[in-house]
Amino acid sequence: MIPLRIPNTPATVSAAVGYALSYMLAGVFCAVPIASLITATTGHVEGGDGRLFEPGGVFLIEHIRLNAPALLAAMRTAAVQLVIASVLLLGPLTAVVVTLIHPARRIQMLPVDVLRHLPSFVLLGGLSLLTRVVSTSLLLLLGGLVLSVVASSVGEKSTDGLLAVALLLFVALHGAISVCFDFARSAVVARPVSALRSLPLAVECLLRHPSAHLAVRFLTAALGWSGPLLAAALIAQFDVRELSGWSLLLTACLHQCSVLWLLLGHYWWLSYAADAVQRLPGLLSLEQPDDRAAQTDVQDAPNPNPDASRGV
Amino acid sequence: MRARTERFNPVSQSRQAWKLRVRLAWLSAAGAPFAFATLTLWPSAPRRLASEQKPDQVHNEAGSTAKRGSLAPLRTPPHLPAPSLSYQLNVRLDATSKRITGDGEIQFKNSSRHELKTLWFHLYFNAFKNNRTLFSRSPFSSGRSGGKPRRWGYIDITKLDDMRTGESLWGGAAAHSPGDPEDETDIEVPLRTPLKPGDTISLSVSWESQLPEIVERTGYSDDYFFVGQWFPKLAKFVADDGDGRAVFRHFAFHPQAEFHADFADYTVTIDVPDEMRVGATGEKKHEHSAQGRTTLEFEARSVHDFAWTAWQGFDVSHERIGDVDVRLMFPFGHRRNREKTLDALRFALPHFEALYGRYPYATLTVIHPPPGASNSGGMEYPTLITTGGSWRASLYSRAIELVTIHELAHQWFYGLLASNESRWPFLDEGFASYAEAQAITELFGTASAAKVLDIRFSADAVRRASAAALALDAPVSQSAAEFPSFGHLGALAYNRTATLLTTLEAQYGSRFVELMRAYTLKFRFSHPEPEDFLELAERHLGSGAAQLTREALFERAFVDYVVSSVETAPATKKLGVFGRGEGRTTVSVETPEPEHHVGNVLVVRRGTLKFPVDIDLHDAEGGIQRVNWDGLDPFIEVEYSGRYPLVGAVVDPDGKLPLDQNLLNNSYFVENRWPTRTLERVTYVGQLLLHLLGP
Repeated sequence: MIPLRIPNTPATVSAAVGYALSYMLAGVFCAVPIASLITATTGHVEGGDGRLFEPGGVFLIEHIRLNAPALLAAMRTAAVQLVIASVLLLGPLTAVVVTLIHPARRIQMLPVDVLRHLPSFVLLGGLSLLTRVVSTSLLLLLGGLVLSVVASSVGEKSTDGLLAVALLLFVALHGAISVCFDFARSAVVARPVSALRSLPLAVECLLRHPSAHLAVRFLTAALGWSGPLLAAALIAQFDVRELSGWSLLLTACLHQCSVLWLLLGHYWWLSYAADAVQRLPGLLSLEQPDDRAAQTDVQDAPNPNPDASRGV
Repeated sequence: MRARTERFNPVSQSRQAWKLRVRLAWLSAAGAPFAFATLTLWPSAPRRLASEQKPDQVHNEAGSTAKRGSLAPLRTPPHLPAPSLSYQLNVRLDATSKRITGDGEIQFKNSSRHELKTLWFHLYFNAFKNNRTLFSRSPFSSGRSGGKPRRWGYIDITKLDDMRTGESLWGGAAAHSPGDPEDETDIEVPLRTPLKPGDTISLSVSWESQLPEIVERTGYSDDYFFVGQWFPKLAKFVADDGDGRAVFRHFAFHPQAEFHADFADYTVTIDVPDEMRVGATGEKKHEHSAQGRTTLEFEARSVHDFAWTAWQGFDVSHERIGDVDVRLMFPFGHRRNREKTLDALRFALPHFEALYGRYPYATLTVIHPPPGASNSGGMEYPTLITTGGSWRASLYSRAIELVTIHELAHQWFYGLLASNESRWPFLDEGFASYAEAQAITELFGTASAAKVLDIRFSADAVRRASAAALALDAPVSQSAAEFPSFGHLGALAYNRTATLLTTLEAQYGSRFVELMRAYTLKFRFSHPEPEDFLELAERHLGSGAAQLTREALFERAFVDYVVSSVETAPATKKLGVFGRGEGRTTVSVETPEPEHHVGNVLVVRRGTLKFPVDIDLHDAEGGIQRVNWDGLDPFIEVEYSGRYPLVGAVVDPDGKLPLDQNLLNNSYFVENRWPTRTLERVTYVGQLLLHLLGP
């Protein structure tokens, strides 16, 4: 049973809704440079941007060929905006973690809490990125060395098998890194620990039940990604060129529903992470500065106790 | 300028434009179809297997424009002509030292009216002898395979005797290629006793060769051997070069060039270690083993090259397709690749026979090189082709089918027609690319290259774009060595030729199909040149089309139709002063005519190729008026008159002109539309990326 803390207080509901909305808006924010370029290049063309989706890809490839520099520039801008959006999304994420740890928090206090924890979240985000880059580089280097040694002596299928193992290792490693940093975020919010101090606690938490934690991480991720996959299968039935009006709206709704499902999977995982961290003995021994404040803040909170989490 | 206007039925024909096959392209410069492996993902459109498709039912989606469906199966005579050249060779492979030793007899008949005093031999293995040969000396990768020799290879002639007189000829042979002291691939051999017209010379020859590590489709990789261009090969003899001279078409081995030779009868005995499995040009006649060695005799009649392979790892199977015994030699574990290859052959062999005449040989051998030897893949030899790709290639890609069909097309556009690959690479590579493109489109439709989610990519689209990108850099019709780079050769000789032929097919329909049929039938075994094709084009398509083709091939000519402007306004009644004297009247109030609009569309032709095109005028209620323009003038101003305002115009709405240099300016609509579909998709992708890469 994986506990899911269903948002049921004003703070948790607002944090969850804010998180979802900010994700959706961030997507639009990242899409604007490319959409603007496509407006300029296909706005006056017969069929508009629907031509880009024609079977055969003649127009799409021609468009790429003739607008490659502009497209590259737009994609670079979009990439920068993606990074900016990632950083900005730390705000809503902080609110979600805060409300998962302190569900009875007054909604008015949420911005203050977010601002208080945001520096730690930014630092953890940077460290997470650094860890991923370093670990990926090491894995590539090591994998390349191993492959260069064994590739000539084993068959192509064995080489592919080794590559598959390397890929699994990569996924497992990144899963573990993600688990650690999510635990650390919860720890930062749960107790007065710095971002750096939270990391050993996170590792300790992971090592207590590594297989269980990783299994939940992958299960919730798989659950989340099932949404986009299902949406892709459904939407592949439509002819994109013909999409307009209601059919386009329906497509957009399907896509956004799948994004919501994806976020639900992530929310479920964060919920589990908050629960796991709060049960960590090393963390429980630390003073909780917000105890008194939390008690005074409790107002009609139906589920102030994490132990009241529902098993799903 | 006036244009013929007709009312158009938007329901039945409005957006057929790109449903028409716009057959385009091999992307890869290197004609190396493997480049597609990175693009092609998985099969999508339901395939029409050969068993479901009769050879005479090959038809395209253009229907009315290209009526292949009306073609009857060709009844090409099965006989092979008797060539004036024969090779009887014995070769022994030393698998340990990677050397071959050979001997045998070459017979050549002087079919000219002139006495011959010299012979020319191609010793292609010497291209890999050192880093100063014509093939190797550029410090940059410029060859077809992009590689340089890693282990040297060479050929040493140990004997070349004139059997008429017993005289040794090799002592008098030139030491190097003409004008190139560092290259030994094109060697002149003086005859001490001239060869009279109609006489035959028999040459006794022996040689030893060191195989290179696989480079440019020949050599070894561990215990796999692919042996092409391996024997002393007489240069192509031309009994009359047009100026009344008898000459040999000889040339040193250039990294961008391929080959040219006379049709000959080959009898080749190959001696290999027992465990080896051997594939070769022609039919296997005998095989026997003794003392740990196996000797196989192959016979090939009326072919212009002979290649063979030996490897113990081959999984050999056979299938009969029509009258042809197809022998498949794949590495073990490549069962799926083999099935995909067979599927492609089951479709393409009868398909090509229906279009280009009967495949006249009894066998076809398909070699799939093992890992590490991909450089011997994607190559054509008479009755033998090589494919390539990893064991999983067919799981996510159409590279196997594409390569197979391309190389099979070479059995006509190289094998049977035997044009000069070095002098006019477009005649073999370009025509084979066209044949491959129409076959692969027939087989897989608009997803002939890839299907990514719900977006389909056709090989045509990629090929057209590749051709357009370098179209203005160099002419199509030039020798392989003259192209600025192999990228240019790929884009122009392969892709632009295919795009040009596709355009001609779209423009001239069944007449073009008949032209191709006439060309392939008339010139089989005849080594045609560009003028031969152009002459036939004039006969079948008219002098205008032949001139267009000539300009497109020889002169870097291009065409780009542009909808330059679209204007519309309500029609007005008379306004101003009319008449004179007492009859003068003045109309001062501008009064729109109810439900009547006029408009004006300016279409410009850039470039010198003058193809006729259709122009569609779109009104605000979805109605379309079609105008046909002969394209002869540099521009046309099309007048519009209709009930509703004119909102836009489209030139070449049915996509009959893939040669058009820029497809983005082929339409113009007054209203600027926001790209809602793109915004929706990119937003969604952005959200998913944020989730993957975000905090």
